[in-house]
Amino acid sequence: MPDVTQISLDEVRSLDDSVLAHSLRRFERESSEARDPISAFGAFNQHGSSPW
Amino acid sequence: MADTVAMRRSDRPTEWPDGNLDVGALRESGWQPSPFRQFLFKVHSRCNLSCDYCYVYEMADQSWRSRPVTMSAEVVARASMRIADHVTRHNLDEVRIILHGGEPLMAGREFFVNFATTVRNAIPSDCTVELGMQTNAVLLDESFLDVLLKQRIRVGVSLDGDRDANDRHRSYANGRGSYDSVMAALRKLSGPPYDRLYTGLLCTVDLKNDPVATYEALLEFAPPSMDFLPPHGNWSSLPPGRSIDPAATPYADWLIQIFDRWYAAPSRETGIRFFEEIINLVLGGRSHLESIGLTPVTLVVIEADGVLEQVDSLKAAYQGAPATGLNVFDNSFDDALELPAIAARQIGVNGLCETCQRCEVRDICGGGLYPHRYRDGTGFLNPSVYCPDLLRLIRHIRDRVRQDLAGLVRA
Repeated sequence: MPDVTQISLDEVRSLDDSVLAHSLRRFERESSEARDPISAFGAFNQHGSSPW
Repeated sequence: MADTVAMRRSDRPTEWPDGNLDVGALRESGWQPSPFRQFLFKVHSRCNLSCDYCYVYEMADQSWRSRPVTMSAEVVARASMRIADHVTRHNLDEVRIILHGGEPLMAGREFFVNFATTVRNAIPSDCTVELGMQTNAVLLDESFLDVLLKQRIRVGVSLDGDRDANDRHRSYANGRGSYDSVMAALRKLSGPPYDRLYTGLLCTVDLKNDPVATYEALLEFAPPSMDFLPPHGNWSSLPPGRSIDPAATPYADWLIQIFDRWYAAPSRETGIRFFEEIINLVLGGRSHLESIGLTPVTLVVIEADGVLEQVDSLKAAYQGAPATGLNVFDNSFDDALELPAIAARQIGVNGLCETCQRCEVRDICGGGLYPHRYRDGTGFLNPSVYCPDLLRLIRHIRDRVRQDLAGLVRA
């Protein structure tokens, strides 16, 4: 597995608008946060009449 | 409800975790529960659609029949007080409150105003309160959107793709499809000033639909995010199209077509929640989803009558599966943290079966969505019924990300 830490923050910020670039920026942002994650898009889960 | 729990445990003494996970021993070993940070309110117990795959009405648990139709102001107030106590006790700086159903919009505009006011007034001001809801959107007109905008309640919508795909399952009781109503609502929600409320779309997978066409049909509504949810099932009640053959991966095959289309776009078109969580886990981060990874689940459900339950998708497993025996009138949320069924979702790899423990993608997969692990007689200490699909999908995403990262590192 390539080590993501080998990519500098400047490189991450200068990446294009691709999905991978977004993912790297998110990883870099969250790595600096100590807090536990909460779902970004609602609680979770599932569908039917009542997804989420 | 206490009777339900007692019956459930005596009927299922060999099933994990209720029958054999010792929370006291976990405590003695140094384990500490994670406080709840997401509170899902079942504000309305009925629905104006009759979707054929709905876990609330069409699967094993039929507890909705005995619930009040709408959550009372008393339950809202009591639950809000309990959340405030939990926030103070655990020094929480943010909580998520989710309005859910049934169909939450059926509770009416006035309910939403009173709900948001009660919750926000109860919780200490140094704790950020985020309100959201998941809806089928057929009642989502401008006057309702104005209420949601004023109350800062964000909105996720359920839609299964184009008209044919959606209306095959998501119809009214008379058989009429819901697509036209949902489309009209999404046109409003995705434009100003309401677009700031728009969280995204949830789509239940039907293998009969073309995956890329489904993705592109959802993209037409400019969602900030979307997700594709496999239909509920478990080892005792297999999902549609899923056999016990470990070589068969119909859901991975379907989802990979969307992943490849989405990932390869030169400019990111939207977020796809499940894929993004897998990528984040591959990179070494943590998951925000209960369906992937090993992050402790910190969600609790408040039913319309004030009863506390586990994640409501457990309704797909068996009658009474989400029950805790607790309620907001007699119990604190800390009481729920002591239950084996809650602890089982917070102990990481120790909550996985031996097969998952040995798996190469264990820390990314996390065993998959908990209700999908159920087998009558042994409970939830099993791989997901979607295990072959998860393994293939995760390997595919992992290998693609590794390949692209290697290119970046070399550059």
